[in-house]
Amino acid sequence: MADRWRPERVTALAPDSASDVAGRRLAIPTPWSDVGYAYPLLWGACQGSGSTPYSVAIDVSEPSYRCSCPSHKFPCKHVLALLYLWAEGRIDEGGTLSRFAAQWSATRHAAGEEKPANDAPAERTEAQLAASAARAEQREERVTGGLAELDRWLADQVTAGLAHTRPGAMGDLAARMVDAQVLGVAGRLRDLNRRPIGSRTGARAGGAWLDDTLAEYGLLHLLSRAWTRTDLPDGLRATVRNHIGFTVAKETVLASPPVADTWAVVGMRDSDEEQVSTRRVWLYGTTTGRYALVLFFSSRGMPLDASLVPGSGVTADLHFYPGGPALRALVGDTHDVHQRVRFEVAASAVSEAIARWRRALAEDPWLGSYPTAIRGSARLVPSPGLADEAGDSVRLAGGATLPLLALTGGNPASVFGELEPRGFLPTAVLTDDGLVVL
Amino acid sequence: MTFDALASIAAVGTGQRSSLPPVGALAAYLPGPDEADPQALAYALLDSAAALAVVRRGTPAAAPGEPVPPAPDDPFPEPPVHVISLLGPLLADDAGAIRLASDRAYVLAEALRLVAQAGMRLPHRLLGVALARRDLRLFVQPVLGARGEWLLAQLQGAGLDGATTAAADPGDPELWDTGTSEERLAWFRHARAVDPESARAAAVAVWKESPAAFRTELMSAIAESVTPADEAFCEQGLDDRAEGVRVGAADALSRLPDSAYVARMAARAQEAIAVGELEPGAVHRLLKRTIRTLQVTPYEPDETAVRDGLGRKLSSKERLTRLVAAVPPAMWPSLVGATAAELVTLHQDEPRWELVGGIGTATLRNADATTANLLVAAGVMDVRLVPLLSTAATLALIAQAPTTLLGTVLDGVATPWPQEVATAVGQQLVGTNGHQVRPEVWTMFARSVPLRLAGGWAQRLRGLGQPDGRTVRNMLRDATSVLTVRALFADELRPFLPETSWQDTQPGGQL
Repeated sequence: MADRWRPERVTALAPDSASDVAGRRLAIPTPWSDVGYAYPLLWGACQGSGSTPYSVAIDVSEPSYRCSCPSHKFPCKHVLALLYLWAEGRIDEGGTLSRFAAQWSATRHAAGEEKPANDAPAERTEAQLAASAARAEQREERVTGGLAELDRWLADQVTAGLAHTRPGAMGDLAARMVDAQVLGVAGRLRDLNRRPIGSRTGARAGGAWLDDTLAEYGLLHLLSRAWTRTDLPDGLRATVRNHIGFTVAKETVLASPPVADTWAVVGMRDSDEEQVSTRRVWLYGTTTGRYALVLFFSSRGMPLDASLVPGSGVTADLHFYPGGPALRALVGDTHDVHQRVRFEVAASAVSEAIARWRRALAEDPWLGSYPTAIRGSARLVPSPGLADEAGDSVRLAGGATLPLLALTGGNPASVFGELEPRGFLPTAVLTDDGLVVL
Repeated sequence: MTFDALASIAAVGTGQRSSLPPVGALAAYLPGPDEADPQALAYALLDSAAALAVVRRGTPAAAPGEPVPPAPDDPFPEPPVHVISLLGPLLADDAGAIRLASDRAYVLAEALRLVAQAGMRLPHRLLGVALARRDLRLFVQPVLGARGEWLLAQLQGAGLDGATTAAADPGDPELWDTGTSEERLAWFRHARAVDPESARAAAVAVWKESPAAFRTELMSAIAESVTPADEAFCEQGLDDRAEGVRVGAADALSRLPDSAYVARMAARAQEAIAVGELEPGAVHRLLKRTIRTLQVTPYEPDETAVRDGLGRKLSSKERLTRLVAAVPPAMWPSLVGATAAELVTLHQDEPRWELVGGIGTATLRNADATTANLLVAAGVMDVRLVPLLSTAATLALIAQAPTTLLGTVLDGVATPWPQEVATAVGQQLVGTNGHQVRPEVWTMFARSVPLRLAGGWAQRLRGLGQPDGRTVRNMLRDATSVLTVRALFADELRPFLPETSWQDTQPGGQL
């Protein structure tokens, strides 16, 4: 049986603060009746403003939930309130399973049993297979054409001089890369296009903008060259295809050998781009010592998957995407969920962490960041940094320096985070109370 | 070739060059130039840029420096987990639970004060965001705990706190000699509270060389804390060349019931105002009742009256108002045989003279709560009197006040409101008047309801559902949110608060 949730996990599940507050307000015994819990089901009835109480059923193992109220919030305040009551220990094991919960559970099971049949790829005819192959070939041709155009454009820019870069020029090219289905490149160009063009006068014109732009142009040129190479090893080819924007089917990833472990959730970062919200969740294998990156996507404004709660743990099989270094993964079978996970981490010295980052870059020069844990103490002067016992240091990036200093009190600690060109972006720290996400 | 050198070439362009400087050891990994390609130089530069960019990316910046001293232990406990999870979004100014930023700041300040009263401190993980809220530093400081104090010291030592220089200590005597006008006034007010005589002596010492605006401010400060020992100085102020000083001096002197100034003004008032009796009609004779009337003779000022602020350029009406404002309300029975509250209700023949404004001012100057309550009972609607009123009189004023004036009346009621006031206002809001009151009344209500009643009112407002009118719906939603969150904090922290604190303190009163 899984642990009882902590209230923080319920908070993390709330779609917004208003729902959370409403849920807390309802997390008192008065309006509730017919409550009960038998893992994984939690159920109850909440008397609202209407004459009929709202029926609530929750499967805490996933979690998934259902409420008979008309709220468009998901989960609604009734679900959150019932979870708070349970998380606070106010609902014990037992109780008579409500009709609503029983029906909901039965429906889900029925759907789940049929699911494998639905999920199994339908048998395709030869004609369909041929059409699919033709589409794939057509896309590769488009990509080849798009990347050739990209490379010519880059050479033109360098020939004419970056000081003559026209604002918005990269935006136009990005649009053409979308047409050519080189979506990964289009995204990088849009990022670059958003950076303000620096001053272009003087002997060392442009400053950081010039450096960053030239570096990115170099990496895009490298990607374009790599695409034309037919002699790349499989791993590197997969990496190149990944950065260009080719996707790998979920079934293909899930068919790869699993890596079983209890994975601690050591970092989470949400971002919005165009119409898509992305959640990046970093996991650390408490036995294997491996890191994994799980990505969730949703239409902008819609809630993102909240099954991986920072600071918690999950015993599960992970399946890694092809390409190196193997970081991105899908969560396969989940065996257990832990509200808190206690583990030791072999945190590195700064030099070891940087050496690993460099090895990762050798495998994937386009890699944005690399997860690691560094044992060190935070400092503020002359710039925020993390220094290890040997005195080696790395600059702290992002806005987590203050929370890190507050949590560690200046003492050495194992700090999880992402090494990236700017420095180290801390995401979580191991304290005496366990893992605390920054 | 370094990356910087390569960037300099790229900035200018390879179009005018025939070759690139060697890139050193990396050259072994780079493809050779394609002589046939007219843009071979550009591609060679991009190849080099790619290689050097990877090297550059693999070398994150170091941060050499001195370690910080370790933090001391924290002896105080953290608040309950629910309080922490509510404080987090509020400190981060997350608009989810409470829409208006000012409401969030108010509720947060109240919550932080409760946490401090409960003898608790912020959890370490919230210290960073708490210290970033410089607008709430006053409320954050008492709940920082040892770790927070240590963190703040580190930030300040590193020059990273970002807070503006702390306000000068108003008790610092240096300020009087070297501070700005504002700092000098702050010192003067502080000194008046501690040692009014020395403060006045300091003012006298600089009086002649001080500009009129500063003298006016000083006299105004003296009026706020005037004592009989200031009388002579204020009398001199009546002869000051600056009008502001003269007005301030008259104001100060009229707050001293035994001053010569008040005696002079009382004598003039006695000349100008009298209470007489009308010849009774048949009905009144039968009822054996007399009709008292107010008789006002416009006061014609002489030279001493002009000095006392009853100038010839004033209208008769304004002169009368100033005259009445200088007479302590308690003095009227001995002057004219009627109380101040009676004066405003007496029958008058035409033209009628308005005494309400002057009597209201005098009531305020003398902090005369008895007269304030009697005036309201007599039907006087003077919102300036609200701070002096009893709860019953406040309720009467609320009942009399038109809905558009309700906010102005409530502005003068100390927070948290007495339970009866909260109930009366709440009933207006949930009743038919809810859509007529100004939006700020909803805000004031949500913030000023005593904490122990917040939960009940939140529930009552929720029970209203979705009333007609977008503005009312918004106001209702905002007020409900504020009351709900206040109640959540109160419920969670109540077990840790002393009962007296729970009943009597005014956690949000100073905002």
